[in-house]
Amino acid sequence: MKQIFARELKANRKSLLFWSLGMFLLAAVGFAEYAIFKNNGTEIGPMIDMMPRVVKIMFGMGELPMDTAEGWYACMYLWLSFIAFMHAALLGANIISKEEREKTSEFLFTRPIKRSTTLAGKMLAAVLNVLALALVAWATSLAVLYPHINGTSMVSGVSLTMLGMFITQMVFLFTGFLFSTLSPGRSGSYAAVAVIVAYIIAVLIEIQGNVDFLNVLSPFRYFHAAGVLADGLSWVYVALSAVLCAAAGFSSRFIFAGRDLRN
Amino acid sequence: MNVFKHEMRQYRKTLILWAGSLSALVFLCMLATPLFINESSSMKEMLASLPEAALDAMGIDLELFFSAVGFYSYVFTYIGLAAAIQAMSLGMGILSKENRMKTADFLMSKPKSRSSIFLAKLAACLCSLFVTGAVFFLAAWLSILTMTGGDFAFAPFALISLSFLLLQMIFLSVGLLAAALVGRIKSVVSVTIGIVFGVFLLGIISSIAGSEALRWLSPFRYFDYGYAMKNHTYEGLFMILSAALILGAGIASYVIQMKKDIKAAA
Repeated sequence: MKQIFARELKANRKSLLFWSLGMFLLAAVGFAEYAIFKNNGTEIGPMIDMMPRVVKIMFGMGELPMDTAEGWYACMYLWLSFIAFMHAALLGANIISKEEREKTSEFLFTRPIKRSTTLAGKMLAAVLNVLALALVAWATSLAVLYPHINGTSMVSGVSLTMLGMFITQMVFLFTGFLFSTLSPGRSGSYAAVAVIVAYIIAVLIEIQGNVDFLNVLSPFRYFHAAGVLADGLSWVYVALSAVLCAAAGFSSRFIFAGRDLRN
Repeated sequence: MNVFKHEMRQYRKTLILWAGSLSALVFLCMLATPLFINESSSMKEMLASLPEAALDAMGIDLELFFSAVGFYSYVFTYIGLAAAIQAMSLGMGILSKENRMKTADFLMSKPKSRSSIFLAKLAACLCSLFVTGAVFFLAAWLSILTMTGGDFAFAPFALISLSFLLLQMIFLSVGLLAAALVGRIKSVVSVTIGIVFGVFLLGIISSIAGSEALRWLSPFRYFDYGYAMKNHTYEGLFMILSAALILGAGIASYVIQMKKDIKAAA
């Protein structure tokens, strides 16, 4: 298991570097723009707030006024987490299925290592990758935003929302594993579509309004920024995420252990 | 011709899925048009109270901005994202799959020049994208027709919709170039989504923050729909930039593909 774990870490090093770089750049540019926006925001800020609600929601500006640090953060958080969720879902969808796609499964699965052990090694490496990307997002956001939120309660708010993002990343990662074991050929596309559908559902829930119980349907809504900044992480959704991850993880394990490998 | 036919057959199902889901997406989104028009009244009043010159400086045509076409321009932001993903994954996939699936030796040992293979594949890409574009245009036109009953400005609508093809051309040539440059791409979906999303979000940030400099970095922002609605044309500078990008990346990928070392499956 240790070799598999180490090998996967190495194999994903380059792609993790690119995703981290992208995340870093977006967070840096996104939050640096806030400074510029705030300086001449006396005109733009109120104008954004008066925009039709549908449009504001479509672009992540629906929850809080954009001329506050909280509002800007909530909007950028949505986009950063979109990137993080895509990364997690695609990573989960590829890390197992790539052996079958690249025709290396005969080599790997004839080693004297149980399939479930191989799977565990790969999952652990993937979790570590996801954690690294979350840390990049957290550190960059805090570093660039810090001058604007110094001394406010938002420092802990940023950390809490980023923790929420990490938990949601795990949900998408394990969903990716499940796609990976179910359909190795198309798992990447399925995982990407899953993230996009979840986003569309989240937008629809927000447009409808007052249907918070429907948040269950879209992981985007489990820890949305406005909610977390106001009330912290909701334990119900932490538990739900844990259950989802465990369910997807165990079913992947059992499906994969008993399945005929394509070659 | 054989290569072209083969590729078209290979991508038929993908093409139907893309055209179908883009049409469904635009129709679904446009259902929210009445919501948009109702909710825009307060902003409309505020803007209407501004002097004419200030409105001109912002580049907004009030009547059009708050009509169904105005809402369509917002919806189209997401449609453009999907179109870019389709085009880039198509371009990257069609060149790199021989390598990935270890069929390069088979194809290259046929009595066909690399150049004719490349051109046939390019033709298959263009054909797929034009068909998707045409189906989408029809779907968008039908959606806006049902929402407005025919009472909408056609020229701005057509301008917004046509940027669909231009965006696709840009991302197709970028995808071809990426495939030509990189020897083996393990997961086309991951690379495409990573790049397209990054560029898209840069564009979103630039439009929320109103930053002109960031616009250059994101092809999604080469087409300013507010400008197109007001002036009934695209911006010349960004048109030239798009054309340069399409031709530059397209020709570069052709040149590289002609000369590069293609690894045998062994």
